[in-house]
Amino acid sequence: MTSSLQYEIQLRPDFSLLKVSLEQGQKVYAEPSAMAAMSPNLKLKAGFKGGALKSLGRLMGGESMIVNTFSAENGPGEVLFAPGHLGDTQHYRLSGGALYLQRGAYMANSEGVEISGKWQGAKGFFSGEGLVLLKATGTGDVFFNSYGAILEVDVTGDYIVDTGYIVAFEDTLQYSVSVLPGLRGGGIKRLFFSGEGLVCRFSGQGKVWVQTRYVIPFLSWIDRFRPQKNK
Amino acid sequence: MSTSRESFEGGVFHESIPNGRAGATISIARGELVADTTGEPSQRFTIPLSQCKLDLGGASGRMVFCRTSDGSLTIFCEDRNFAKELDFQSGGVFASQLQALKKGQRAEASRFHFWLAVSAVALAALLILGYYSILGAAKVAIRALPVSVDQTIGNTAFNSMDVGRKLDSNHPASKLVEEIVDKLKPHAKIPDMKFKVTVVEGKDINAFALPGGQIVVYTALIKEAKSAEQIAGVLAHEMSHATLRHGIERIGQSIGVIAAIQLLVGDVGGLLALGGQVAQTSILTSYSRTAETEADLEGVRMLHAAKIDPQAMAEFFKMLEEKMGDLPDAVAWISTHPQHETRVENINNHKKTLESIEYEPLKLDLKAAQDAL
Repeated sequence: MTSSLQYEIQLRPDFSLLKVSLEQGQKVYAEPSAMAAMSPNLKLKAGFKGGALKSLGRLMGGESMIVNTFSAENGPGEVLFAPGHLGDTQHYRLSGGALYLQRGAYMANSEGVEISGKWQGAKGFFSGEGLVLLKATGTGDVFFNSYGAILEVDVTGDYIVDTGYIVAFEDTLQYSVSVLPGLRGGGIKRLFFSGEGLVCRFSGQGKVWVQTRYVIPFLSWIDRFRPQKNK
Repeated sequence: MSTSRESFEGGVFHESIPNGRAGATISIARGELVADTTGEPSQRFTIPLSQCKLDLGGASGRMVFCRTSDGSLTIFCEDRNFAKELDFQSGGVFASQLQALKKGQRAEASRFHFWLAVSAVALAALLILGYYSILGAAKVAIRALPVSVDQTIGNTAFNSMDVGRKLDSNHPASKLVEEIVDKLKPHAKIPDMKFKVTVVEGKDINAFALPGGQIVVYTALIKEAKSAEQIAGVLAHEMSHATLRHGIERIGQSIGVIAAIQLLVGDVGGLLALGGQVAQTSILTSYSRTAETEADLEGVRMLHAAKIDPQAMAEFFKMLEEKMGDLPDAVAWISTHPQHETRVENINNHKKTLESIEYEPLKLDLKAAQDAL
């Protein structure tokens, strides 16, 4: 069953909302708590999907082990999904191959798509973005969200993205974590104090989705306005 | 040339495809790479093997890309058998190309692992350096505190400790240890330290010193001693812990390390509560091996200055070691202390460096004290 979902992403980019219209018999899977509103005739089922290992992989990738299934068993209906934070939502059509998602970026998918964890070992440890990426494989629709808006970049050759700004990338791209080239000469001091540092270098041909905001700099900006704790 | 036996799951990059990319079923037939896209309607793309430029990459690093010379069309596949089949169908043309590409990737991977190892080592070195500089700083800070601080802490700890039944100060055993301490006292490193020794009933061959000069000796130790000099050896060792200020140093280090961690984490509120925790007696009475060795050597110096043969100290350790086999209770004093052989050796070596003098035997009645227990 590889029929595609009918969907609409509304209110982009900052307060995006994903509307999926299900035909009779169609299903959509989504992360728990993403559902904002739905037709009453849709059936919701919560549970593990894809066995213990895949569930564990999702958990390591910053997602819940539980996946909610919305199925249109009693006629068509629609369901609205909202990301946990403000930001855009992006659709990707998988036709074989794989899409890699940053920690926590997954939102929903159609039938025919498997979401699992992909161990990235030392690469993940040094990128500071978690040891596990989410990997979507199969044929079908995937929806992911960002913090801030999403910029789609068509890479041919080499491209560098700060690890904190990567949302997703296609499997045809090779990636390696490295120190920002300009910092290499500047020594370790620059790496620690410039606030720039580890980047992901993509090479080959494929798409990268870059988010226009990164939550850590936002938090340090907002921190200055917090009331001070009394000593 | 033949047709490939199997087809592979892969994909195609081409301008004419919506979004530029599509999944495809790939096969090799009559010297051509053929890709049929999986979407509706299906499109067919072909690249003659003779025009195929190979590349290796993708997120896995194992994806094989086959490009036309102008780069407008790319057929790619991640299947492990694809490269083999490609090579087989081309009659071995691609073997060397693939080999070279794989070699390049391995070189890159080993470079990555090299830097990985370097940064791991650097990080570890930084942590160790940080730890020891905190310890060092704490040591300097502690040395600056007046000795009265040691006494306050030691007395507080002693009063709150449940050491067991204390022997009366008129008891022969109490008198014995007190006389030994009196003999050693004038030679202590800190002359005005107020030593107070208490004998406590206990089955462990044990003695310990609290900061400020509070010393506790268990009755079992007195019972097992072969001579008053041996007890003097243990007492000199324990008095040295007090005069070398090991207890307070230890507290300082513990607080120092945890305080540094708290400062890094940003919460200083819990520091006070922490001080109470650290002052627990287990920390006051167990010292590092370095501290034990220091106390041994300082003890030897004191004994020598008091004209008591330091040999007795080494003898006592030897005896403890022999006893260890059938006396598990005796382990208490030993467990926190360095290896006996090295201790005995250290003591003897240190003794040699001292000028040889005539040692005077202690005129004390150990037998009477032991019988009274």
